[in-house]
Amino acid sequence: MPAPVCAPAVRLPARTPPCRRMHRTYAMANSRRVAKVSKQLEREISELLLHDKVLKRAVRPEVHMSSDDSEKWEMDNLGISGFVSVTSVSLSNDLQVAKVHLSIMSDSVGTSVAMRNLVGLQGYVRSRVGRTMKLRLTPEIRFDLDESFQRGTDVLGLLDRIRGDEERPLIDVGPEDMDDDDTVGEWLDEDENEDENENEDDTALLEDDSLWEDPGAATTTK
Amino acid sequence: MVKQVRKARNVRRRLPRGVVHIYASFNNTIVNVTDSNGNVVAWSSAGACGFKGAKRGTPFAAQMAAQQVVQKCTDMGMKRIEVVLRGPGAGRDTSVRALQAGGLAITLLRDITALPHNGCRPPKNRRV
Repeated sequence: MPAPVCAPAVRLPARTPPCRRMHRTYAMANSRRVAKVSKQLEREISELLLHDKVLKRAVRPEVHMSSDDSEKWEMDNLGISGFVSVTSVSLSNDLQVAKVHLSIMSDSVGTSVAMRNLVGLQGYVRSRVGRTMKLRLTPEIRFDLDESFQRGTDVLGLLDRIRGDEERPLIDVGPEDMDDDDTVGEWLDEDENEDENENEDDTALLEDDSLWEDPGAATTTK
Repeated sequence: MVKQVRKARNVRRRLPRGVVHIYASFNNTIVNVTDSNGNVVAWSSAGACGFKGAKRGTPFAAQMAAQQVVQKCTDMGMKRIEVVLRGPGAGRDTSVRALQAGGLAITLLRDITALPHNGCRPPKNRRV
């Protein structure tokens, strides 16, 4: 079946060969304009995700589930269960389709719920963006989950493990750090040979074998 | 009479917990670390990391700024932090992830982006 012949956007000269007349002609925007429009789209959608009530409810549905006002206030001020940010916008050359890459910071359930709700609101976002941006045709918005940063962090961790470096552990928050008082200790650099003093303490600890022995382990005798 | 100038001593603070303020605008990401009272003890930004122009507003630049801050926090002995976010930029999420990956325990995550109750007239729309 031959490809449909559309009327070209630009009137082609009479000597144009028929093979060229058969091709569809798209109205392509300048690459600089595509970059400008995609950047503006990113700003508009970021603002919407922050300020629009419908989108905020889509990302954090549990906030609006409680009927009691005091409970809602408490949930609002405890912190957020998940939040969304726009990492980039990929716009087609004809300014018709915009892929919005979102990064959602939440657990797996929260991420899937937020993503499902936002995908359902793609048309709503398109209408809101069309009101603020003056374009001939507002591009179709498609939300896409961006997991590249998480994947990158995981890959870097794997590389560190392969190289043999110790995986940086989460700093253990012991009971002594759970005090409410903000004890701020200050010390002054009184000595110029401060580094030597520090090293002495560290080597003394390293040389103390009793710290490294496991009292529960069976001792082997030769 | 010769004025005696007192040299400032090199004071280092030990702070077990602090508050990290992340201001993520469209053009830059600034990360400030304060104590519970709001006094700044360390800071970094995408521009301070060497990025120039439009690259400062990228999520990667925000990640690098957060990593620098993590280094300064661990030097101060900081273990627990509260994160306070402000602004609509792309560096919001990546900077928080970088703080987590750096080993700091995040106890609270709050967004304090200013929300007008229909106050000042916003600037006119940009034409593209």
